[in-house]
Amino acid sequence: MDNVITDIELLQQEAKKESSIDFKMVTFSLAGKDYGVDIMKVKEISKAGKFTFVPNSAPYVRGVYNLRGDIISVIDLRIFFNQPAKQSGENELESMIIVRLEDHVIGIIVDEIDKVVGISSESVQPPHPLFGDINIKYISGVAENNNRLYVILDVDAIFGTKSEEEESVSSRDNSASSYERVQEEPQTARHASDSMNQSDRELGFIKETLITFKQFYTSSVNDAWIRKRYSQWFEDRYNNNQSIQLTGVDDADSYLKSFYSPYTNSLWGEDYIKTLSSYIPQVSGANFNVWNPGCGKGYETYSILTMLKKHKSDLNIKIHGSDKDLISVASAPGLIFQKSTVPAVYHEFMVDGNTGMQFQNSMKDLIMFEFRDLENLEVFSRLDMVIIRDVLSFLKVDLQNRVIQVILDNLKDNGVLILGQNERLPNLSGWEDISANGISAYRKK
Amino acid sequence: MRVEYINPFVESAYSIMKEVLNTEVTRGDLYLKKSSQPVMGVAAIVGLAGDVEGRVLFDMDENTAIEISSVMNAEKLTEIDDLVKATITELANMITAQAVTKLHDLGFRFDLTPPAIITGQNMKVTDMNVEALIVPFEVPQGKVEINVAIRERS
Repeated sequence: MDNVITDIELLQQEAKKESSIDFKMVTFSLAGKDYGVDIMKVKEISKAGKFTFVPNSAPYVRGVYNLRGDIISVIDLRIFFNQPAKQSGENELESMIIVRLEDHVIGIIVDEIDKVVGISSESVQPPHPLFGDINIKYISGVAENNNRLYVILDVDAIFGTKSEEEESVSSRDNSASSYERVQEEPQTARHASDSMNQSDRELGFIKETLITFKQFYTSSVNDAWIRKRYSQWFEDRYNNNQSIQLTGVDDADSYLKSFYSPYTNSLWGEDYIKTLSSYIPQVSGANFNVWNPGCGKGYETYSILTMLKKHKSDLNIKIHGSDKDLISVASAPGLIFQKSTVPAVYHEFMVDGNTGMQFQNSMKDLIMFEFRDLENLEVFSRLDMVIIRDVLSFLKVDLQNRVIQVILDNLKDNGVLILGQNERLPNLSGWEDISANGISAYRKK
Repeated sequence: MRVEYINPFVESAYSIMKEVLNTEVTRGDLYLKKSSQPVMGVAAIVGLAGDVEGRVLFDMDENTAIEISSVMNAEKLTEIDDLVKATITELANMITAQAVTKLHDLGFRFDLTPPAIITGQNMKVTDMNVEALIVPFEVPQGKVEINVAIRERS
């Protein structure tokens, strides 16, 4: 009992600690690592470029900058700390934090400014002497927030006119020479890698906005497509003088337009049924079980059933269609089609009604539509075929892998998995790649 | 969970609560859950058998159970006594029975087990290998959650 009470007390104390935010810092990154500076020292942040070069200054001094009439000196913190600094183009703007010291204002260039993080000053821990990258006397502490570790820099110690300054400048000279050595790389190689970094960064932003607008998660399932699409996208947008970045759901939709497999949200055409039917696995028993996650309103599930009826009519077919969109999947059992939109191949399995065509009840009985979230995967009866087109890409990356594993575990040997046309399995262990004719298909070994 | 099963439970819970409590009932968004879920304090459980296997759980906190029982019995009750337990059991029975009747009309064969009632603090319910559908309801007496976990008998 005692233990329980102390646990609760500890938790309460911890919660209290978290709630008392009394130290805010502006966080930024240098060479991929997170740093912070006390917000009270920060005057403003801005994007700036075209600094005026000052001859014969230390290498980490980028020059001076006219900040609305005040001339401030600008220091590149990456060079100052002997970190790799990317070369910026002529007109490119860089992220600058303008800090206010006792008697002057100074601009510092960093890789990227992140956000303002509030922490409790009690949670700041003293720097560990093993910190390699940055001289320990410039660090006022280390703080953790949201699973990220921030090194808090002491701006006064770095730029202040304290007695250590001389010393720090002389130690900078060493780092400056090493920086110059780095610079001696062949010019062309660096340019190539720069432009690649640039497009990688652009693509990185696009990937993030795809998550925000469409819950589309890039992973090795769709990476090849997303890169191919990016070069096309870049060209189109560049020629039309539009922003490369996705500014809204509409942009995200047009980026993904060519991603979707044929006959999304409609009955499959006869040609597609024919192509896909060559992937139906041979089975020894009399039962044929199919799982169709992400069935939506059911168009795909009815198409699969028709394909199997055409090519495997002697088997006991059972299809599980599932979706986590309740409204869509609830309408699937009673889905009504306009006669003009239904390809001829379906007609023999359908009946005419007052409002349109429906599948016969004997067909519907072979399908079980389920309201189901892939987050909560269950064990299935053994499956012969899984058709999951354009679903994995809309799951979080770890869930993608879990779903693939569950499919592998539940498929019978020689069972077949069909993915969306632009999706690939990230890992082929246990699988044989039988993709062809624009269909991503895998057979369980 | 098979989509045909969902509506009968939602509809009958809505109409029966509206009828016996004689008040407005608001339904929250339905969602699915698999991991252990906390139980609020008073839970009536009805088992299902037949074409499917599973159970329905009616979950509310003690205060809500007392308030609902007070309305249904037209007298002021103050603690979880036998009458409160019997009343909540009856409510669970009415809702499940009506849902099963509706399902029967759709051609699904379900049987019920007699309801059991569980009371206590800090309880959790876990269903192995089956996803639970949560239907949250808001009534003036408090919050009532209906938690349906059923699967096809294979």
